Amino acid sequence: MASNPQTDPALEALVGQKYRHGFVTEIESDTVPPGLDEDVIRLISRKKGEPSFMLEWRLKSYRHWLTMKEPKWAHLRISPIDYQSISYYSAPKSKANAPKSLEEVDPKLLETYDKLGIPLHERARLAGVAVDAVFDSVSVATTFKERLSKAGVVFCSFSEAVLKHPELIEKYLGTVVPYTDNFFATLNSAVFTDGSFVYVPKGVRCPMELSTYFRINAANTGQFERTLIIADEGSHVSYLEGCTAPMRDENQLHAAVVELVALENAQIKYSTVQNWYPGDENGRGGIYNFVTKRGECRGANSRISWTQVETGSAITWKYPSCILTGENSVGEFYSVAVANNYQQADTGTKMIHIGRNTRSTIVSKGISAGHGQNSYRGLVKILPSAVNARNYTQCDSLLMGDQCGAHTFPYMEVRTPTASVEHEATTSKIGDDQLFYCLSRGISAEDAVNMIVNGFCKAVFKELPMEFAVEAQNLLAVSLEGSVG
Amino acid sequence: MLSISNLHVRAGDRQILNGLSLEVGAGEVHAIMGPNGSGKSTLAQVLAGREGYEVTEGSVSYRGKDLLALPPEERAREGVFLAFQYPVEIPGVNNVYLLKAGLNAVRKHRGEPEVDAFEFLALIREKMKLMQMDESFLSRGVNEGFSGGEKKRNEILQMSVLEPSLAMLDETDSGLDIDALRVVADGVNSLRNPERAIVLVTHYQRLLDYIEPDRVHVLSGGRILKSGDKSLALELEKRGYDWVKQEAAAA
Amino acid sequence: MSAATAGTLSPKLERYRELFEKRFASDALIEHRRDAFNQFIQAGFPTPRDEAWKYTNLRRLESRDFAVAESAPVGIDPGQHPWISCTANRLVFINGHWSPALSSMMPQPPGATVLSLGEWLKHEPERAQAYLSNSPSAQTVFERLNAAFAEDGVVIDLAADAMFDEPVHVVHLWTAGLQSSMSHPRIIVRAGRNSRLTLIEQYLGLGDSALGCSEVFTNSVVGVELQNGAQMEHYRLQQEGSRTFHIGQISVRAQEHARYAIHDLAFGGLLSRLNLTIQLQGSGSHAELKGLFTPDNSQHIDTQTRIEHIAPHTTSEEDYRGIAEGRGRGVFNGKVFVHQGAQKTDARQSSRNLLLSPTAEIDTKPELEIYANDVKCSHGATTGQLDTTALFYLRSRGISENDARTMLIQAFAQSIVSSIRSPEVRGYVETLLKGRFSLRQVNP
Repeated sequence: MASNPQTDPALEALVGQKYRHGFVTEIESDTVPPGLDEDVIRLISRKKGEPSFMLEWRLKSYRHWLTMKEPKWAHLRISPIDYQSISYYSAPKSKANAPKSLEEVDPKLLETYDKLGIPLHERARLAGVAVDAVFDSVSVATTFKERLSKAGVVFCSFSEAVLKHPELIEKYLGTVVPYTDNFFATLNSAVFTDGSFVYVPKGVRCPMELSTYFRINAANTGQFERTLIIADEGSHVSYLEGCTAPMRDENQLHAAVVELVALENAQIKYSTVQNWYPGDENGRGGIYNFVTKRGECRGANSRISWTQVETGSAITWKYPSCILTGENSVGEFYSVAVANNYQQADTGTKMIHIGRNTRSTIVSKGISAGHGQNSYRGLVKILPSAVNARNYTQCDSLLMGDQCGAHTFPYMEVRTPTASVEHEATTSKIGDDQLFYCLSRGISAEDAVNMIVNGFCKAVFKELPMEFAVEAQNLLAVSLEGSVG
Repeated sequence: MLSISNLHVRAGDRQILNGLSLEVGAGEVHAIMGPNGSGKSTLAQVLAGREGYEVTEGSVSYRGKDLLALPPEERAREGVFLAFQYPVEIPGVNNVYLLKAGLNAVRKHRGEPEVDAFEFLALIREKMKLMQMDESFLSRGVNEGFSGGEKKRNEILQMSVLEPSLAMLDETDSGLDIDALRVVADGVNSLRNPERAIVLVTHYQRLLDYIEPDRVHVLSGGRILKSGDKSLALELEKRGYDWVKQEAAAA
Repeated sequence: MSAATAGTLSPKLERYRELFEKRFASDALIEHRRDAFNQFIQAGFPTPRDEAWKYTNLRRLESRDFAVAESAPVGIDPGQHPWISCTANRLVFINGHWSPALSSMMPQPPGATVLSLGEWLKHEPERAQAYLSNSPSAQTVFERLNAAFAEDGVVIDLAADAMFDEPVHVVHLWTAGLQSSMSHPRIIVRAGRNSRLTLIEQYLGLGDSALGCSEVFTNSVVGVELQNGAQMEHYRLQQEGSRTFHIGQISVRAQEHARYAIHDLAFGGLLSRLNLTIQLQGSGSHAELKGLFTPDNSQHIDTQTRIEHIAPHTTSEEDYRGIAEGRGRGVFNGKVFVHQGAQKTDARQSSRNLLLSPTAEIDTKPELEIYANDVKCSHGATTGQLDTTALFYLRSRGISENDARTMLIQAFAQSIVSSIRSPEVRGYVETLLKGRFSLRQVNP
């Protein structure tokens, strides 16, 4: 039997399909010239008509950012980023300042989202999912608003929330990811343009899945969105996030911040399918996805669950984390990360156990192919106050091809004797015997690889909402096409 | 010897025992049977002193003492023995070392002189012969790498060394083939005497073919629903447990 | 004089420079030493900002003034010595200086040479230096410091097929009542084809009472070159006093089918750190690492291992255990690095830790860095308390809670100790651990 899957002709057949979402939408944009200084920040704030506390916060962030350096600790090779050549604001030009309803949205935009498979027309959308669409720097449409507001759920663009719910923004913004947190989060705090905002009131179970689709369209722009989700006491919410961008030869920066707050007995489930343009097979172009995501289980018995399928981006740098402050609170992180061609991923999580009886689970599946470099980086920290804390981490890597890399960097810091922390990691390749077994049962090599890879990722996919799970599987198959070559 | 009265036990949010009462006299063999999840193992664990259970009501008196007030090692020294359903593996702690330490703790408690290494080795060799255990047992860690059958035989070996007054066997028959079952049953039968009480916790009647009980109790929903002699076990074997529940519900 | 020495140095580094110049100005190897010293000065002491030193702060070490240690007469009754007895080949170093009186060697087997590095440096400095330069090294700051200050140590050279029947036992002993001093011992092993050796490395301190015992600093470097088919069993016992800073570096290069096995036992010191770097350069080479560290009181014990699989068909097995009590802090960072092309690598790593007090801390970081696809690599790490089920089982057999705890702690350590093949070492360590874990109440 051939011991070398790279040369298997049947597997060669997997090569070929290109990034599906790489088209550009021809639309007139209102884009500020590249460059960053206090005037640009004032301009962004003015364009959004923000209250003064927001401008102050942005300026404070910007001044702090000037004192910071880019982090170098990740297992990544990053070409230097010229922060003065990026445009920090780009919005589609529309009749009014912002569309009041879908009828007012530029038809070309609606077409774009149709092409992406995300129809914003409410009737056409899968029942039960409300969508907020963010195009370059601004939110263009939010669906199902009425039904949600009946339940008392606020789901709108961040800009709208700043105007309509300034008290909530002022109370919660920056309380989980402070403006001083890290280089990219601080930059985001200064220049973020839009994003989604969710507030689920006490005792409310959000009647449908909420989701946001992010789209970078304009060239030479950065996307800096900010999401804030607050689940008040006893509430439940499930939130999905998807991302795509056109194919361009230069790298584009995406530096988002997501903050989650779960109060007593509240539950937040946050799922991401990240499919930013990964660059071509020679590693040219692609999005730099430098994201800070963090949730705090502030109340007792609360739960925050992160699920991510990271198939896109040239470079991914993100560590969705949980701060487990409340007693008996639970943090979860389920991740599939793919690095194919010249993609690099350095991703993982932090579980900070503060409260008594807090529990966390980490399941990470890394797939490396081509020249891809995939790193899991995680921290489990058990503070002395976290009596009886529990963590279990499972971290597996699958290597396809002999030019890629799979790395595991788990940090475990335990300071309480009643805690139990367990970490397991394995590395493997798709076994010749597994492949042969499938082939001998009449399964094509392509299907066999997909089956094996899907089996490898199963523990994560089952955490995704159903309609996303199917999409994630398809996406994975597309991302890995050509990888066994 | 053992008197359980109106015992209520909770584990976390789950109520497991709901007013269980049972009297076991010296020299008697009792079998406690019941469907899965009825609370059989909980009863055995609570009597041995396992943490994690909360006794919310009721009492257990053993030879006139409040059993529930004693820590597990005191109960063992007073002569209570539990043969575990799932004996734990303790790599690095030698079998002989554990048994000798246990036996001497019991003897000391009774005011008897401790046995030295030679006496002990002679004693354990004799007991091992009875349980048909291999010599290599002496050098291994507690239950380390033992098969299911070996673990169960080891439990009975420990029982025969510690010579308890009240022995509880939790599902000792599960996972045993017929030969191993016979060895275990012989071991138990050899320990039957007028001063010793034995409580068998079991799901199947099979074990009772080899160890004949004086009384049989049906435990379900955390209470004893029915008691009888050994014929009750045979009836349960034939008819299952549902009729007992219906009977109890009707009553 | 180089830029580094001419420029402005921190007062602490300046102090090292003064010591260096005073001691070695007229040394035969001053140029080699100065190169190493300048590199040390340029890098300076690592800080927690360096990833490799994230959990170990050297501020205290850096702030101390150490003199270069001088040999001292020791009144040790040969029958009452603290080291492992029964070893036939013993080289004893007092405060870093070879003591012929306390050492004893059997006639050396054919092809085997064992000598004091100090003697060799005195008589043939150039040849000794050339030999030193070829020894494996991880190029760390502390190796540079050692290269600048090293004055004594052991050279073990085995020709092809040479074999020691008896272990070579190297003892490093600090005497009581000396001023704050530092020692930079060095051990070099070159094992020719199919040769065999057992090395016992033991670090001890005398007069370890809080009163009257001054702070000392051991900075040891061990270089091991194993040629094709060579086998080495290595035991390292660090039992220094509670006022000792101990930094150790072991660098191993293994060629085809060479086998290297180490038991790394770290019990002593105030702050202790070992870097163990193993390069599996030849196909079929194998490394086996067993480690036990037991920080108590305010001890800080840090172990960093790095196993590099460079050639295909290389294998490694690693099992480290830590037991932290009191205000002790244990750090374990184990990296398995599989180079591109190192196909069929099989690497297993396990790190298990017991945390027995609410003021103790364990930080573990088992890492995999893999650039080849046809490999089997796994690691597991756990940190927690004693197994409550096992504890209950023992108690239900009549054993008191305290005794049951002691039994379980000893059993936890025993799994490392029981794999010690040398009976002298195993017996010695078992006695040591018995004293350590049963002569007092264990914290509940």
